[in-house]
Amino acid sequence: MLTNHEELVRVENLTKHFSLGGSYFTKNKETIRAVEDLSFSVYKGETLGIVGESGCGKSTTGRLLLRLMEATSGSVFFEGDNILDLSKEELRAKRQDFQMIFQDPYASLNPRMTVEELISEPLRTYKVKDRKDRLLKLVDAVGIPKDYLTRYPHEFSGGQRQRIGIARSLALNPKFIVADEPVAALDVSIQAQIINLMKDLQDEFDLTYLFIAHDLSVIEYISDRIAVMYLGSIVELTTSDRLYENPLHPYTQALISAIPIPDPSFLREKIKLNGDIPSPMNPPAGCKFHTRCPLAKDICKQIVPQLIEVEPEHFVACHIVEESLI
Amino acid sequence: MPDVKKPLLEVKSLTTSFRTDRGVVRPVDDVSFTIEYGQILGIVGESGSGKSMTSQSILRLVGNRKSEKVAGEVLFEGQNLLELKEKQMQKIRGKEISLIAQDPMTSLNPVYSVGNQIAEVPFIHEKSSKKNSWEKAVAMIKRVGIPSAEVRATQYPHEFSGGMRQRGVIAMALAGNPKLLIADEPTTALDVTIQAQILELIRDLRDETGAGIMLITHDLGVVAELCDQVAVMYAGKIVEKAPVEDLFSEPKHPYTKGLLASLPKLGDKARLTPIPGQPPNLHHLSTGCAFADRCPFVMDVCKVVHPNLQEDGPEHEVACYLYGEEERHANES
Repeated sequence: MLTNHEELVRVENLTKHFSLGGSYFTKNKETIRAVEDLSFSVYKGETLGIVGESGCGKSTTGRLLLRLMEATSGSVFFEGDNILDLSKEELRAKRQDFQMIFQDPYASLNPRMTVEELISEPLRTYKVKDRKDRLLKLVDAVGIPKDYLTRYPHEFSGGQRQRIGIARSLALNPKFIVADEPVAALDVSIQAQIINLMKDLQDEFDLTYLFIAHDLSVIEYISDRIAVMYLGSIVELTTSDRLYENPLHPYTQALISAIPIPDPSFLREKIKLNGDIPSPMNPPAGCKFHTRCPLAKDICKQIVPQLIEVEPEHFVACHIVEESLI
Repeated sequence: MPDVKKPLLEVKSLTTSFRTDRGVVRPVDDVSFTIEYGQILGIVGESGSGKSMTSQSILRLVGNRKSEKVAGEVLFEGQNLLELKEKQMQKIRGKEISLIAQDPMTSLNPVYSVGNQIAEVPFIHEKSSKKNSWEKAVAMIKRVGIPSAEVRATQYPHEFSGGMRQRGVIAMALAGNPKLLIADEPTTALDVTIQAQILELIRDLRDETGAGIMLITHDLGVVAELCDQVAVMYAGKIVEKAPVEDLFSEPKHPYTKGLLASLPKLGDKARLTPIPGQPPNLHHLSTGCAFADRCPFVMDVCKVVHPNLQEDGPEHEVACYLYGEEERHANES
């Protein structure tokens, strides 16, 4: 459990809008509100999980935090500096400290580079000394045999490729890693290997993770705290234990009750959500979840609920929960 | 009326082999199972285990080229599908047996309206009139829970969301009133809340129509929710077969045990126990058990001869020398 709550990353009012369509001749004013007014912190040494369904903005959030994509507005403070204000050179120097692990180990590795070249590329770029030493330490840490260094990515299975990707992201001794669905493309038996590896590396290298996934069992297992996103906003944020023991937001409750449990004797009442996730192009007014919420009232259709702390370390954005407190 | 004595589908020693430039591979190797009317059989396995190839072999979607060979028997209501002519097979596909594929975007044709594609089924198989076929398509769309069916039928796949598309595919699969439904990873591309809706729909349809369902998935959670019987596949072979409760409460094969142990469980933060190593390459299989290299209980005999699937407990079959008669043989030698 986390005892110190030293902030490594603080996100304030982060927003990303994509403008859609439109060509040279036609101006199209439609925008996708991918991420809207997010504020949260990532504590040093923790794993913050972000979970949500497709299109909820979880991957966009990860990319904005590393400035792989420019935000529309808001700030991201990394150890006190606003990353979004840094110049190109400053950002480049800072990039050593935050890295990314990608979902698809097939697409994220250059097929024409050997394992050695792939892993030492960041070392070369940042002119690190004793590269060979560092390289050997890295492959050892992620469990790739040394005699595979001259091989190419296509000679590896998905799990091994993900190990290579992880070694690459660790090369520069980062403090913060955004992992975007790192195990979603892997088979169950391999998935467990990678999750264990990520946990071990976190202890060994003092890493802080932002772990993005759609799989709730995986997220619950690896995270210390979890943020649940729906259509670009955080609807609930709390510790992983509390989220599963006492989910307060109706969306979180439905999401958790929909997890298929690998135990046929496990009986439970499922909360059924009707309908689909609305398009982020025209998100519903008020609480974005009101169109599918079994508890929705009039107020939900009009006023956007704020993320409020309903008990220590438990934030919820829901009018119904808020009312029940009074 | 279905013949009560004969099972709906009886697959006997199904073996699919491909001749490749690196030698012969068998993605499906001596697979046998039965599906009764109204039963849901789950086939689980990881990528490359041969689960999808099994369904394609049953539907005769492979085996039509010189380099492909499908052997064994696929008895559908007693009739061996592997002996049928392609013309006869076409009458069965989509009518008696239909397929729900994983990705609804690729199984729907983007240039025809969804209603059009569903109406094709009664139009071709039942020789219905155009008008009747269309009405039937609209009724099917309604039945799978798509609101405003009349309008939806005239729309194209890109106008549907992922979950709605998969409902459309299910409507198409059900339009011929099939006796057997093969669902190949039907919810893998969908979000959890949508997955829950689709699983419920499949269960309801089974209850209503009494069709048998073969559900192919890698997700043990989905298996536990939906299936009656489960077959676990590894490197082209069934390694364990059991009623769903038994498989989860008393898994026997070390691979099944390993799979269950590697899943993160809600509320349990103990370290995961992955299966060491990687799944085998079908080009380099030994004559022994394909799981031997990764198995914590491996014995000498495992590396030489592949164990047969044998009964160990009621309806519970396992292919492993740790169990049954073969265990004694192993200990003797």
